[in-house]
Amino acid sequence: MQYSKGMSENQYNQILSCLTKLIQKLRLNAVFLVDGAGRILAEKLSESEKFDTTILAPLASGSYSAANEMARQLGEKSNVKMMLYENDNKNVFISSVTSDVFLVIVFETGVALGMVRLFAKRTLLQLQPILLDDSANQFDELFDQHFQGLLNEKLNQSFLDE
Amino acid sequence: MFIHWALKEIHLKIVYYGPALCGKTANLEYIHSRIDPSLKSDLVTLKTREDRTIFFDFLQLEVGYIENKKPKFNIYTVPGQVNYNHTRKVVLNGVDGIVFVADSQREMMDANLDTLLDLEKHLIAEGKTLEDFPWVLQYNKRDLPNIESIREIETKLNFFNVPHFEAIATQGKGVFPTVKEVVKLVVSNVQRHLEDGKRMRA
Repeated sequence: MQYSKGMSENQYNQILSCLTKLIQKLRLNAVFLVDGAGRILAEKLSESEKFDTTILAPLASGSYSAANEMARQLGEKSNVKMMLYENDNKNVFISSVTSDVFLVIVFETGVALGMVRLFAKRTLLQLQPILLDDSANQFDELFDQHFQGLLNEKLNQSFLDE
Repeated sequence: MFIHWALKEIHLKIVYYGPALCGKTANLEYIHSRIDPSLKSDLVTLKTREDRTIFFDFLQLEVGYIENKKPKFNIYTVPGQVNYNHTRKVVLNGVDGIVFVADSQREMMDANLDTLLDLEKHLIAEGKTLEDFPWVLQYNKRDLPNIESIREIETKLNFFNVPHFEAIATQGKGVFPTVKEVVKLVVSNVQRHLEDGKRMRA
């Protein structure tokens, strides 16, 4: 089992470039990449959007995992390929990129779903080889000897009644 | 753990685990109510109509930059009810540290142990065990009348001698010491894994 995962600056920039093209092409509200642990890997929001992707990421991750389990209970062998939440104003489309990473697209109801699916598929194919690069997982040092003490100090400062 | 080198962010996932109604959500609610607003996300709770956690609660904590790195703690609870087994497995995906919240009431000792064994089963599926994983025990509801002594609970649950804390989560007692300890253990564990990897490659 791999203990840690990382994303290099180069990977991040390539992914961001893919997401930026997608959001501009379809005038989407937001596009973000989430992993199975509910973490945001990269995000691109339109200038008018203000919602908190920190919250949306674990919700998207959880709902995708729940859908996968439903599929498994129905006898499906592979993961769910896509999910759609239809709402009054903003729809949400989720599609798997790899077994542990998926793309979340938020778009106005006026944007054609077919277009979203078509361009999402193209974006997935661009993202897959970028995510395969695991060079950012290999590193020897992250924290030095002072880190733990500094973190403890910061935590004490953050808790208002400590 | 996930390291975002471009943003200099270190994402660490901490899960509060324990039997139904032991006080996992109460821990998060207290943390959320007492943290500097600029350092926290909203608290998301996915509940049934009966106010029971059906999927998870979620809260992200930040502490700002430390030595040019920004640790972010993604804190989750699991649903405690027995029939939400798969949901607990989903929430544990990518977990870095666990707070096991035990209910101190005497009649809950079997449920505490069953849930701890359930946790071990899920950890094994992730390639981890309770022996080599950062986790702490919190003995909650110490204000109730019919509680087990700490010595007895220790014998029944703390086989691996992990750090333990007495708590009354609804009043905030023991909540911060618990979360600080698990954060400390998680960071030490990351460091240990990195040093092991370095030695293996040398």
